[in-house]
Amino acid sequence: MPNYYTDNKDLAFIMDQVMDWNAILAMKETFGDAECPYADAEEAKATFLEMLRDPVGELAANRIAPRAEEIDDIGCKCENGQVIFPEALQRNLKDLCDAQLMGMTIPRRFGGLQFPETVYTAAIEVVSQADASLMNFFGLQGGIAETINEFATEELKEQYLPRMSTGEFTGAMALTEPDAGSDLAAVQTRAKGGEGITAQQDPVTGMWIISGAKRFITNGCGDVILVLARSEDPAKKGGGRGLSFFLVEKGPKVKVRRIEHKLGIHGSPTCEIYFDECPAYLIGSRGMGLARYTAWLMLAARLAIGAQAQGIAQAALEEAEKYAKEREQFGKPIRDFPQVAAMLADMRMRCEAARAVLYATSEIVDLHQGAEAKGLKDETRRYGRIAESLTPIAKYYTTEVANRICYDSLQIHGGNGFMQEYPIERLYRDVRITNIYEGTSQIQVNWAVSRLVRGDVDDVMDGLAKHVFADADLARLQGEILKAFESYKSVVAWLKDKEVAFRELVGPNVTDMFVDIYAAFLLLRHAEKWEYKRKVAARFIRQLGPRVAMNRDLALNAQFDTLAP
Amino acid sequence: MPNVLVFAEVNDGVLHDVSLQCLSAARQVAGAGGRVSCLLAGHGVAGLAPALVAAGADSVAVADDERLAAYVTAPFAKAVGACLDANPADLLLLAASTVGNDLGPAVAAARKAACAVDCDGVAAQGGTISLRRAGYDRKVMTTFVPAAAGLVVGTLRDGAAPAPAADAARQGAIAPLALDLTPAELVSKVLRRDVAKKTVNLKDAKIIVAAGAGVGSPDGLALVRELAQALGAEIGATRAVVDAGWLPADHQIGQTGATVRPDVYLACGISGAVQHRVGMMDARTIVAINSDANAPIFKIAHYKIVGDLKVVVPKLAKLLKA
Amino acid sequence: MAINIVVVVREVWDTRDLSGSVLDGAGAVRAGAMETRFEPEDLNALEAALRIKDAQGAQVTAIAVGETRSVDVLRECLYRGADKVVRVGADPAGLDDQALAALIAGAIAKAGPCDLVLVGTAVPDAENSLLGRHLAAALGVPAVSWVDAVEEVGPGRAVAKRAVEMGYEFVEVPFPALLSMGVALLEDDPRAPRPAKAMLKLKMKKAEVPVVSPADAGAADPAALVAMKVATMEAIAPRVIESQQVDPESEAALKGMLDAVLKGE
Ligand SMILES: Cc1cc2nc3c(=O)[nH]c(=O)nc-3n(C[C@H](O)[C@H](O)[C@H](O)COP(=O)(O)OP(=O)(O)OC[C@H]3O[C@@H](n4cnc5c(N)ncnc54)[C@H](O)[C@@H]3O)c2cc1C
Ligand SMILES: Cc1cc2nc3c(=O)[nH]c(=O)nc-3n(C[C@H](O)[C@H](O)[C@H](O)COP(=O)(O)OP(=O)(O)OC[C@H]3O[C@@H](n4cnc5c(N)ncnc54)[C@H](O)[C@@H]3O)c2cc1C
Repeated sequence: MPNYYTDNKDLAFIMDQVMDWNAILAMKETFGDAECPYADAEEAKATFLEMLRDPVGELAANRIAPRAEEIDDIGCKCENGQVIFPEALQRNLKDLCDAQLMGMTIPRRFGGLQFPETVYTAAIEVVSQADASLMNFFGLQGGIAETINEFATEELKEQYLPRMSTGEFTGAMALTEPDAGSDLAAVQTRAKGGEGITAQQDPVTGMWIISGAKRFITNGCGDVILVLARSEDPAKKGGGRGLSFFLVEKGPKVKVRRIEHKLGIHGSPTCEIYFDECPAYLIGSRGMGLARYTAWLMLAARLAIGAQAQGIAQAALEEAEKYAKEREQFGKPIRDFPQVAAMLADMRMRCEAARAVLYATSEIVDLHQGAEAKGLKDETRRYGRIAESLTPIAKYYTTEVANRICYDSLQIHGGNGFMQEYPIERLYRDVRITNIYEGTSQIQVNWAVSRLVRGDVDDVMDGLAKHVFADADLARLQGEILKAFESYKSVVAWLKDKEVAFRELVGPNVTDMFVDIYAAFLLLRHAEKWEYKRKVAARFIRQLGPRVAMNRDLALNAQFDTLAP
Repeated sequence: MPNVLVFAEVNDGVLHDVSLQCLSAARQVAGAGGRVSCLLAGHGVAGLAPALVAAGADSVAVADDERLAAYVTAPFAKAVGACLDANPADLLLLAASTVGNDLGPAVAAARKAACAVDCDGVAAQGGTISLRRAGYDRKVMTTFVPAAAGLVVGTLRDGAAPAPAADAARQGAIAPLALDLTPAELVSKVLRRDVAKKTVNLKDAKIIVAAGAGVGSPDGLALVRELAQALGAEIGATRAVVDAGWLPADHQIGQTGATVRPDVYLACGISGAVQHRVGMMDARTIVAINSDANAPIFKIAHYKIVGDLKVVVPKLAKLLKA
Repeated sequence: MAINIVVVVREVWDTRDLSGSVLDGAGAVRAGAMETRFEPEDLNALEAALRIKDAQGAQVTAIAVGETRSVDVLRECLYRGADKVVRVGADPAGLDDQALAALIAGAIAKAGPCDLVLVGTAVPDAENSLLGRHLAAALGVPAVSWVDAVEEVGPGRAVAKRAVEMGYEFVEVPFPALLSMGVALLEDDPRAPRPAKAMLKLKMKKAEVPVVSPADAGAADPAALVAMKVATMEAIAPRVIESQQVDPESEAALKGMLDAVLKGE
């Protein structure tokens, strides 16, 4: 029987050989505690990998994947405000609940598994390889539950987290509105006021009242909805500072007005919802809705979307490799033609580079969370700074690479790729959302470039640059990367006194340079542990120099142009 | 020379052809000195006894009893036991069918006898009976021998022995066998049967076009049917197709279906699971059409066509009609 | 009332993707070179038991003979929802199904009352397909083989859907009874047995597995019970097939193939 974890040799390698479990676990578990289910780090690691094999990999390959086509065909429907899932999707959700996987990162005291983000990220990748749209239940759950766990009152945690652990409750996050997309500071949904906005709580229940419309809400029909809404008087506290964060439970006052008809992820309902004077709990402090809680939630969700894209990329890559082996033209399999062979090699290389970045990021996120939970101030600050830079970069990189891989995979399929009979047609549609939601690639780049120029990840890069390779070949390749790194550093230094607008203009070039170099370093480290990776690293680094040089030149020559005849 | 008892299986009033093959295997093992007896059990089956004599039985015990109308283990095992008690045998042979593979081991278990099922051959040398059977995905042939003297039970696969030539002139004793069944032996009941009547004759077909789950729908099957017509072939199927209800059960080829040896076997959208392969791998020429180049069926195919059957099958039909 | 179900589970050689031969030069199984797996039909038997448990409640006990090689089938049962497991502490190597059945029957008797025993029929191409029959004889209970689904359970009886040539039979057996399960999961979806439950796996990974000795199972010397032994094992030479690829796009190639095939070449 296929297994989407063990069959994915690269993912299994990263989990087994690359992740620094000792470091993660030192932060996240206290061995010897009565409550800790592991004797030591080794046992914990073995448990994580075992769980990825079964249930995660088993379920994905043998139950979820076979249903993907049907779910894509039928899609979700909305009748009289009720969202109706295709039967196969209902089975998927039941299987995830039965396998007790819905609370992967929720604390054990609330019935969850309390696994590190890295394990969850891998699970999301595996599930998304089987059906990307299912990730929007499975992968959204974590970010929402974690936000509640981090910022809500103990009562709210007890009220919601156990039921999110079992999967009885699924979540949604309601940020976007018709006039507030990338710019969430423009959110209009109001949290109780009568005339004007004089925010006040219901004196009896302590609850707030929310009204307004939200658009493009994934799983807006879910049970626990986190809502960004305006609680402060705009005259006194306008823009983002006037927004607070709320928890709304599904009920008659939450109306699903319609669901979108869309290009891909048909198994995930995208809802327009209307809060009709709906009771809500405040989460955390007033006025911090955007700056603190949404930012926190988005960070978690971005990692999840990166993993979703990674899973789709893996699926598209495998489809291409399979097809190119079977399809014959001019008397031989098409993979024997130089151009197709090169495309396949590049696809695999990019897929593995993206994966390297994704899990290096998840590791940092784990270290950050762990340091915070342990109250280690310096580490929290350091890891937090790195995580805030790497997460948008990882999201940007994995989603753009995944799009590219799906594009190439479809190309390798020729005319068949354009037909619904082949899975690549669905993958090609599904992958397209990944670099749009949870912040478009442009928004990720804006986040990234300001932090790169500020030098927020310099220490990480210097560490990689100074690593001493015992192997002469690897040391030589490292020399190649260092040349590109110098070039990148000169561009960043040059940008220091440029205006924000100009930095954003060349943001894609700078981010591409950075992530290329970062991925190259990571692949080279992987090559120390797995012979095969030498070939991947060598190919990647051969292309690195020219790409970095190109991006440097493009940045140095960039200009604001508006072209119109 | 060993004495052999053969259990003659009857389905819908017809002798199982592998039971007849068992008779010829029994004759060979028994040689000149051994006795081949036969148990014919069921309801309304007595008339088949002469055919068993003609096929090589020296004697036939007939247990014709309404309590044996449907197969359940205990009463049939009792009948075999009674036969063995009356005429001790060294070897019991049965067809490797769902009945034989249930009954043989049941008798062996009750009498602590040596047993092997799905055998490809049986032999007796120097007084020792041995059974040969393939295992490990048909990668290993194992020869079994009993650990101690006593009864050996074996079930034979279709084709393990040749069909006997019927000789109407042969003589043999036909005698009824009285059955004394206790209530404990009658606790299991067949409530209902959902079994198809035979409408095709796959065994004698020279050309078989077989459909697998890859046909996808009755529409896909229609394409296969058209090709079969153009070839003058019978239609076979995998269990997946029968389970889907696209073809009746008598079209099924494989371990729980028919075993066939046509000149040409055209497999359309069949993955080639071992349970299917055992039923068709001895076809003289095998052509496989499958969109998955790694499908196991290609390992035994003489002609491999990697492609969509919905495209390839109509093309073939058109070429034939042209 | 919740019934008691015993499932017999085995760890078997996985020869599906084996490249190279199963046997070494001396005709013995190359144990070091092969992987093992949870016997797929035993997994179906477990799934059938757990579905009964889901639907109406049942106490499910899994029993295996011998130490784990690499797949701990008993723990896998616990992870999926079995309530209890028992290991019979004997080496199954060299034992036939008669001897194994005696050991297992003893362990079942010790485990307490039991209404249904489920075991994989095992496809005849693998080993052991007699275990169910021998076990039923050793327990003295009625048995049904080739069961694809358990249609009805209780009170005091079960109705099994048994595969026969050309169709199915629905057989009623009173408790206690044994069912040998076949492919079992014929419903459209899900076709695969359930995976592990994560929380349960976390909880059960160190659970103690009780061991019953052969003596306690009433068969102190199981080797003495062996009725059938292996005389020789020989590799079956793979069938050499002259095979050729036919290009489905080329009418000429297809035509050529048809001509060759129909002429009987
Ligand atoms: C299927 C789907 C599911 C969704 N699920 C959710 C959900 O669950 N919850 C939720 O709150 N939202 C959700 N969204 C909304 C999603 O997050 C937004 O669509 C996304 O953030 C972009 O906002 P927008 O569509 O308004 O585009 P706009 O913000 O209007 O952007 C349009 C274009 O302008 C670019 N752009 C905008 N600002 C800048 C800038 N400063 N610099 C450079 N370029 C810029 C963008 O990159 C984009 O190319 C979902 C959307 C979709 C399509
Ligand atoms: C005890 C037992 C007894 C059994 N007895 C039998 C038996 O007697 N007979 C039997 O057949 N099975 C039997 N089976 C079932 C057997 O294991 C397999 O499940 C069955 O043979 C699979 O049938 P299939 O090849 O049609 O389906 P699948 O295995 O689903 O294969 C379908 C194939 O079609 C291909 N395909 C899909 N679409 C296309 C297309 N458009 N063009 C070309 N190819 C396509 C796929 O690549 C795939 O290889 C038995 C199983 C057990 C356990």
